[in-house]
Amino acid sequence: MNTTALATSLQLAGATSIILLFVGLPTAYWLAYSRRRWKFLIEALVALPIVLPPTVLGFYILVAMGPRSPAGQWYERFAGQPFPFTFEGLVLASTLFSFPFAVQPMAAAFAAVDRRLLEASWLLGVSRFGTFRRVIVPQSIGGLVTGFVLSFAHTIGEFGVVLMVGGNIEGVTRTVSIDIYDEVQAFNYSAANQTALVLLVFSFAVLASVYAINRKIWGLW
Amino acid sequence: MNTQNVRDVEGTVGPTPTVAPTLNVNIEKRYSDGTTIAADFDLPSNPPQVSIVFGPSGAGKTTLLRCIAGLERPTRGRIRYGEEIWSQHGTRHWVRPQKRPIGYLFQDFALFPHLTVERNIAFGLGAFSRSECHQKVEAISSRLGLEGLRGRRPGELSGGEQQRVALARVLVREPRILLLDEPFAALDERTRESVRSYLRNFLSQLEIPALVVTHDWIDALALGDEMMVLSRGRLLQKGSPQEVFTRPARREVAAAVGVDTVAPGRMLDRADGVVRLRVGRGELLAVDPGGEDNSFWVCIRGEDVTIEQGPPPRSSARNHLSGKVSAVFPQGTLTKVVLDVGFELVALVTRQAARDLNLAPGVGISAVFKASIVHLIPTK
Repeated sequence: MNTTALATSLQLAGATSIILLFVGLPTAYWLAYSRRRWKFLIEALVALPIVLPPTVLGFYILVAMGPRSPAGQWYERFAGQPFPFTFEGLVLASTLFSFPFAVQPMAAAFAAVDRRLLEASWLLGVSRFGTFRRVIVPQSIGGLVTGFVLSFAHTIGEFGVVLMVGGNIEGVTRTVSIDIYDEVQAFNYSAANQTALVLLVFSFAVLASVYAINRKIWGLW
Repeated sequence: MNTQNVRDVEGTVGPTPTVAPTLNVNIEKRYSDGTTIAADFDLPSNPPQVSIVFGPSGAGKTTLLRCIAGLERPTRGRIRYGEEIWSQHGTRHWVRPQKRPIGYLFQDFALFPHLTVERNIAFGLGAFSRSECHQKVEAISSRLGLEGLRGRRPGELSGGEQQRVALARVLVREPRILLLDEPFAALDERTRESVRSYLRNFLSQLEIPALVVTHDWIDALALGDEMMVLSRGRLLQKGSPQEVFTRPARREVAAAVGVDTVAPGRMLDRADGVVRLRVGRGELLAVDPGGEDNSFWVCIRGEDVTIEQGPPPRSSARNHLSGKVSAVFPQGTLTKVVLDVGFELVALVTRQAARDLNLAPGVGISAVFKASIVHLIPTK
């Protein structure tokens, strides 16, 4: 089994899910509590990666961040290297691609918090942010863990976006899912099988733990 | 969001002023479906009193409390506390709920399920040091008899205990106004009885005014110094609970405060301070209310009606209406007896009396009551 690819995958998934935790919390809060009429548009936008072919997303990221785009040129000047085919490029692509997997469970959990608890907190003099920290987050911890774990697992398993944006560079952008593809292309079925089995077991374990958390099989506090 | 035209009024939470301010509410809240709730009243702090907002469910009572607390914005009007304007339509005056010195008791208490009783009580004490916090929690816990429960979670408490924790959580912050939304609705019948007298005593010891929303006239009578009747979004009558209860000013109020018989009547004649009225096919006598009106809503409480059988004895009661029983409904210790005496008259008698008189549909009786218990509301 290709441990370099596994390490790349784990680093990518770790970075992505941590970024998504921080970006996802305010987005989920807004989605759960905003009363804007045009909220449905943002909801659709957030959910887009679920239905969009990864190649489409990858294509637009390449166009937007490629060396010929203003953003890409700015990035190149700033970071000293072009954006595509780098680990950083992969992280951005993965973050966008896994966005709904993090945000949707969080937003659902926030929306399920009894509104009167929030009002009770405000009337006890606690600010909106304090209420978020002391009431909303503890009440929706299951949804937060679910969002974190799902975005991690989804990043481990992604293929199309990685190939489009990251290419296939050993030690930089070659993740486990691409490694399997390579092994199969080289008729190296036993190596492919080994890695595939690891991913299968990992994914099952992750999903099982998510369902267990949401069934409250283990108490989280 | 609603932060853009927000301006905090300074000094909302500060040292207690020497003259306790009056809460002055004059608002209208309109919903998109056309429902409108309008209210105009004062809640003085000095002397502090318990005011009841009374009315059937859906009358807009909770909305009124929520507007005062700052959880909803009135569509029109103003809420003023002493010199401070908490909310004024069309201006930027708005005091956030966090800054209003209010203690709000939710109908189902809204305790934080993930925190212990102790941390629930200390939740709103962020401005105090750890030791002050501890002291305050200790004091209020012993005052409300919660010492043994401090490590528990709300899920492990009975309804009455939850209510005391909610009360402690609110009072520990020393609010200047207490708002209670249906304080008994989430309690079972037995707990209700004990909590009612407990709360009555407790509220009278606190030196702050309280506004209590309820749809139960027994609660209103038990708790209130003052009572406002709200129905379909309008304030119909203000007065002491006893006065509202015995002398409702409008037909809706009579129905809301549990007057059993409300029937239309026409005055036939008046003499010696007594009026004779035709009600349905029957006639009755009532104390002359004076004035020019000659058509009334005739209000009679069921407990004021006596049921008799046999020849009418000599009695000071002016009304002896003969008729028959049309229906009997046992209701706990009392039995509601619907009589046909030319109109439908309800009597409340004890279960034992109903048994002794063999009250059953079709049985002939006479209904006896004094002229003075008949309350007349002009129909305009």
